[in-house]
Amino acid sequence: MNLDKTKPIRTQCPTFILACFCFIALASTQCGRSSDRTSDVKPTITVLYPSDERVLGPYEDETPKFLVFLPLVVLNENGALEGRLAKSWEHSPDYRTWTIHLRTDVRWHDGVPVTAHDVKFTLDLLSHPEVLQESPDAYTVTVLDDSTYTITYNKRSLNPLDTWRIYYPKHLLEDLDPGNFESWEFWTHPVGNGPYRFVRHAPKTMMEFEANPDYYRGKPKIDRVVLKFGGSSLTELLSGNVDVLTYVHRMDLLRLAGDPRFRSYHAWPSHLWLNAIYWNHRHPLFRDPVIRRALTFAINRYELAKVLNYPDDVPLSDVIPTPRQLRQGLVPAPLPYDPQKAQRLLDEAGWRHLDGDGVRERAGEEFRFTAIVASRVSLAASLEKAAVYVQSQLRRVGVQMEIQALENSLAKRRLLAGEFEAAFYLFNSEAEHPFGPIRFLGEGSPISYVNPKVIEILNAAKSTMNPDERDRLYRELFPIFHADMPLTFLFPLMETHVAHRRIQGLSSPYRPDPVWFMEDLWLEEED
Amino acid sequence: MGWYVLKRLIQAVPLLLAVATVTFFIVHLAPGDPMDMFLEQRYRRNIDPEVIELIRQKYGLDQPLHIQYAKWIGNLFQGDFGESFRYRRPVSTLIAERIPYTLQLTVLALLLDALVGIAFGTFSAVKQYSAMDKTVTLGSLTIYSIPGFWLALMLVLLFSVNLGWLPTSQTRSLDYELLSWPGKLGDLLWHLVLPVFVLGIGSAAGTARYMRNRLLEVLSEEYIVAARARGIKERTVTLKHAMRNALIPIVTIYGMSLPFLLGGAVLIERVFAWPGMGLLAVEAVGGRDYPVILATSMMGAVLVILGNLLADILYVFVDPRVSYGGAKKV
Repeated sequence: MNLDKTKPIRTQCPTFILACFCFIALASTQCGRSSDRTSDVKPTITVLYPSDERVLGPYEDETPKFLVFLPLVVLNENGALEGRLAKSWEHSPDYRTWTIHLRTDVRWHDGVPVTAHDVKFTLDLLSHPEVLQESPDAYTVTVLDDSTYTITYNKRSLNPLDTWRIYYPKHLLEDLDPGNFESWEFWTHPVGNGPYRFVRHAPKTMMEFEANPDYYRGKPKIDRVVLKFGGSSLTELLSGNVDVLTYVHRMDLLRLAGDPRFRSYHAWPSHLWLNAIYWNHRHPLFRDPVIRRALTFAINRYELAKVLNYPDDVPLSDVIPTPRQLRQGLVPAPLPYDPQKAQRLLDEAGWRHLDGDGVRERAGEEFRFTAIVASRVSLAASLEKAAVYVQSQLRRVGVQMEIQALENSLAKRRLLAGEFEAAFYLFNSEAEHPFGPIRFLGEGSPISYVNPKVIEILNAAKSTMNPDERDRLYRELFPIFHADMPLTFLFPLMETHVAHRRIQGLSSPYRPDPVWFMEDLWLEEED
Repeated sequence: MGWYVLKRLIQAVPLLLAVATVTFFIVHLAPGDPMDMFLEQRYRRNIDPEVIELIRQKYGLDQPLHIQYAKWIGNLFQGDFGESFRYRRPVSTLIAERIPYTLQLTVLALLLDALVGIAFGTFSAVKQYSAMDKTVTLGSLTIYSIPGFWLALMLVLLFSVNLGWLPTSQTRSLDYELLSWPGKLGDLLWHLVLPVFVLGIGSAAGTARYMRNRLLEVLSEEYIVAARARGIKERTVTLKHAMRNALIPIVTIYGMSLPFLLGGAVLIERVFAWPGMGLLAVEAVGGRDYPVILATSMMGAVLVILGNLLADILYVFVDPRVSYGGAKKV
């Protein structure tokens, strides 16, 4: 069977061909243009950010908000507190009442001065029952004058003078309904008091900001910042569409290795997350602290960090430090990698090589267990890779660890219920965090760790707001942790950002996030 | 026909209720706590556990499951899908924001699939055993076998990173708002080229193969031989007689593709950072955002039912032997 051979096939489908031509013609009007190249006239940085235009909203809790809004204080490049909205501050001896003196030269972008009334309005709003960003009745704010207020914490606050909280303009928002808090148009058209002013936004695509010429610290050197919304994508960086990638996975950095165009910067989050191995102390293998120490000796954690492409200065520890202790380097050195010592401890505990299969035995039982691993728990965690590495390390000392990868929620449930032998998961250093010391090392511990002294110290740490006292209490835990080794900490979670080399002013670990510290950055002219 | 459609729609109500019930209980009984999102590492400030508990109460998550179900079903009948736990915004608003983006992608992909798949399948069948047939067969088999996300990444690498001809991601350029309306249209189409191509070409490959096989079957039927014997032009025999019968099962397939319109592009949406429904649904599952999960599941169920109905209705037009509400025509 044949079609009409007197006519070419292409003429027998004119409509289809015409439609294709129109589509290609329209699309080709854009060929060759560099669509995401923003203005080349003013210094501009384009940042690929994994969010959308709600990124300045109250529930997203992301660093772009610092482009537009000021916190009370920031951490400077040395890790010390430095005032922004706040000029100075005092506190009561028990740290529960703070008196904040605000700067008087800061204005909202519409020209209205920032006052203590704005701060009170914000804090009251956040504790509103419809908003629920803070616990109702958590604090009482009293305005003393336009630039001074006191805040008394009725309940212990985890963040009394934190670097994260920002404040909103009372004169623009006080008449809005808190019930629609998340839907306020303000979040996509903000009026702030920070180094950058909102210019425009395209839904699901981008937000543009311009340098605030009236900023009290002086107009930033970067004139224009564009947040381009999308996943963390190296292709955007490599194709030149963006200058900065935020929250890059450490393993993705390997693709940029040796590329002279980019630099990476890292930091550890202010409340510390640690990758950890949870040993279930109910399991006969892990009841003995000597065994737990032996297993820790058997793992080369520095090499593990290197395998996962962590920088050389990654802080490793066998104890839980406060963020301040970590910043100040007051954390004792971890147990060293010593497989010979690990083998000796296991021998002394009665676990020996008997049948030549490479797995130790004692009283007819092999040293074999299963470790659950949460998969894809976060962009930064590399728990699965860490588990595979630890498995090989333990195998060398005659311990057989099987790995069972579980979906994140299931792993979490089993961990909290104590339904595991060993587990790879994240641990938070903050005392009261649901994945923190009190939950796992206090009463009712899912890992069945029972040490009355630890419980006493943790309860004391939970009730104090005095950072010096908290540091002292955590220091008391150091020797206990070294002796008991209730968990084995591997390495902390890390934030990594990548920026084009022309962006100057960034550093690790206190100035890694270009979006957070945009006001202090500048562009180096390229040859 | 009208009564038939009405009858089918009425029958759909208990079916949707059953889907809603099963989905609700499965989602709630699966391990995981929606409030776990506050434990995520992206939260720089530790959230007060009391606040988390208050939020749990606000969303009724502290209530017994049957109470939660009753409230949800009651709201569902009023068209209220509730509020997203993660975004703290009405689910209907979230969905309404994202539907246009997904429809842009999937409708064009389906069109590409239909046009290219049917066209190439027809050419291939008509020119059986020719070089073109072999090329189409091999090509469609190859493309059908390639994972869509891999194809997407390779095309991005080639056309976006290396050649710079096409955008890497998103729905429009950063300066879209500053363009004239023809520029805006061109910009939208330019951004659609790669994702539509990836999404559509894989399906088109399958359609081409199916169309080829189906058309070859029909072309060997006796009535086709009889039509040729009566001197009808080959083109008329193919396009008017054979294709119409060959299209019947393909109509069914496209009718059943209706749910795909809203949820079938998850991987492509992820690769191209396309803010569509599929991505919303997957993120909701990972974050145990129950209201969003339930809403997208119900939408899927509705689309399946409507898709089936649409396929049955289209049958009437494609196959004149089929009729609803009366005796079958002979």
